[in-house]
Amino acid sequence: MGWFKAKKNRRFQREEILDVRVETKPARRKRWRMIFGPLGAAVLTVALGYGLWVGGGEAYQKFVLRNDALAIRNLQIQTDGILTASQIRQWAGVKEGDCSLELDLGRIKRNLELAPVVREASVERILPATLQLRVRERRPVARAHVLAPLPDEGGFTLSVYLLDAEGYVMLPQDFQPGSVVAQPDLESMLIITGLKNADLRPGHPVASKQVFAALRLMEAFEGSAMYPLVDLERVDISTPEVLRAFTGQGAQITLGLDRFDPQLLRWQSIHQFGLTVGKSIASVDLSITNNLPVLWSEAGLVPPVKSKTPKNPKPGRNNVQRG
Amino acid sequence: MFSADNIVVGLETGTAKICAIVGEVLEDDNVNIIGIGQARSRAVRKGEVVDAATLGEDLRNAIVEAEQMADVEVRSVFLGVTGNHIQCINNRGLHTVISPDRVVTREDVQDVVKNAKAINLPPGGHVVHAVRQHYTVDNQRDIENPEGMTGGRLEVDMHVIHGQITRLENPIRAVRGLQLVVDALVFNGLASTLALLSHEQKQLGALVIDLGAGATEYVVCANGIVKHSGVLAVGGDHVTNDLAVGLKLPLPLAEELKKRKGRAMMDEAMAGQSISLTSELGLPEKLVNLEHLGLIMTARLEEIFELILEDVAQAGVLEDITAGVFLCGGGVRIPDIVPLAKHFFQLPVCVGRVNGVSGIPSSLDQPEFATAIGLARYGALQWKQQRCQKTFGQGLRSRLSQIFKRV
Repeated sequence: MGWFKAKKNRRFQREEILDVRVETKPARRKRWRMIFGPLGAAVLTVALGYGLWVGGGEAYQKFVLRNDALAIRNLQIQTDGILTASQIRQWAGVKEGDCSLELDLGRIKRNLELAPVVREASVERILPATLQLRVRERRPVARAHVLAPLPDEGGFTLSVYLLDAEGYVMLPQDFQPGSVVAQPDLESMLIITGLKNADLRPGHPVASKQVFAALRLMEAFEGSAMYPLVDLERVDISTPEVLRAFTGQGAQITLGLDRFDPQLLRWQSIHQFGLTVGKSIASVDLSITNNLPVLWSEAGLVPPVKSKTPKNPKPGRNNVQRG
Repeated sequence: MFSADNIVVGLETGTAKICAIVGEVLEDDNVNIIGIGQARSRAVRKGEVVDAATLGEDLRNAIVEAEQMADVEVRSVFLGVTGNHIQCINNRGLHTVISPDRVVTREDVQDVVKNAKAINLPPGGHVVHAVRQHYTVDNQRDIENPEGMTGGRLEVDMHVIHGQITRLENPIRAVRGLQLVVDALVFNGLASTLALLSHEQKQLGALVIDLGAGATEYVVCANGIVKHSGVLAVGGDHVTNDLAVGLKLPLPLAEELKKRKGRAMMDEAMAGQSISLTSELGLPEKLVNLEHLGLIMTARLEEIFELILEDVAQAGVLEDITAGVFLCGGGVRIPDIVPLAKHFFQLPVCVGRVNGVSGIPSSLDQPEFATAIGLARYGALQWKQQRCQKTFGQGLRSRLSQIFKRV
């Protein structure tokens, strides 16, 4: 090509020229070329870059963003709970017809997980036109009743929060009618009292050893032989290092914060013994190991146990909608 | 006055006279002489400037005269240069063809020419001309255009004429002092050759000798190319000087004697004859022996021819001269110069006549104007070359097509 060929012979580099047009003309041309060559190349590069930028943008718009072949036509939503597909779609911020390549999957996942009822979300793009959203929901297992100060009038009001098995705090408004397919049975949930209002921050797990113990107690109770025999209605955690459980039959059971299975066994033994003598437990302290103090009441005065629905197995992925 | 693009001006700064020739380039690329300007040269010795200020005056006189005759405004000139510092050398450039198909391309030709131009010049040296001779491709000699031929080794012979840059700059500076642009410097010998030799004579082989007042230039052409050239810082003024010294005459008187009675060859009729020279007042001043006059002039002219012959023979181009010797310059006015040269070179000798040029007949027949006319003709060739050069668009298209062909 010869444009940028390096001159190897140093004798070619003689700069002395006569002030004669035949010699000055090429020298002037060379000088102009030296000045305007790089300048022209720079301008050309900038223009080319700008052209590529604009053209690339237009091409991207035309062939990617506005390309029907890449528009989402199949929006698959899977959840293991009770959220509706429309609710999930709304939280995800995607709709059919959006360009699948333009979607920020991380943002969608973050949007979904910002909802308190969503425990975990995964977003998968299957080119050319499918987007798959998978959601694992939080399920409330207990209610927390706390007294919250009224800001204007003074005094206190009862505030209700929901807790899942991991102590994650949710608001009952998250489960308002219309936002879910079926509401959880809030009335039958265990009530935990004795918490401070400041400990409960919606969207965050509660940081209380006793709350976790109460939740473990509930889990252990549901799997124990006492479950069909009494109704565990409320657990008070206001007393340090112990849980005070109140049953629907009027009994007050004091339990330690760990090793619930032997405590429940002892509770069962005491309960069986009471039945043999026609008594019912009024109060018992299971947090100590020997010489348990038990107060009895007449068995005939005790309200009957509510009919218990068998515990549902963990739901699989339902509410699958293929949009 | 008008200024036209096809006007070329040749300007010779000789030792005896400054001569400006204005020519217009015709449609057939010949030159029509439309103006001549002359001025006595007072600031040039042996072809080189010795008084820049005076030279400027002389140049202005010549240019003004030429402008008036041609009715044009002179803006640029092709300037003739000569002098003892001008030297000539034949150099050979070599280039290896690297293309896979071994076809010689235009770039290869340009490269080999560049290599041939790269010579070791003495300090301060500057190339005035680099005249291309024949190409050789893989030892196949005398190729005129190797482009498109197949070969691996491309060579070219280049006749390089160079001089001292400082001494070349003197006349340029004087011309630029007149607000004129110097288009190109041209070696006077080369200009004379252009003016005198036809294409056939160049092919046959000819020696052009320009016998100037201060310097003598000679050029050998053969096979259509410049084979050899040279400058002797000896000319008609030296004959005058010899006469002044040998006959003990003042220089103006010696010059007058040379013009009136001088001869290049001794004539039998001159033997024993004398001439009485009178002073400005008309009184007899000195008696001069014509035999002595002839001896002195013959000796000097023979010496000039001998030096030329020696140099030409040494360059190995004497055998190439078959068309003969062509003389021009003011020195040709010396009677019997042609027989002397014929006797010396043993070749056909004649006073050169300008060819390929039309215009003012009086100028065309004068051997003194050969160089200036040749300068104008050189200008015409340059003008033609420039006109034939590709435009930017054509050049760009050709360059792009070359790139795509290579890709």
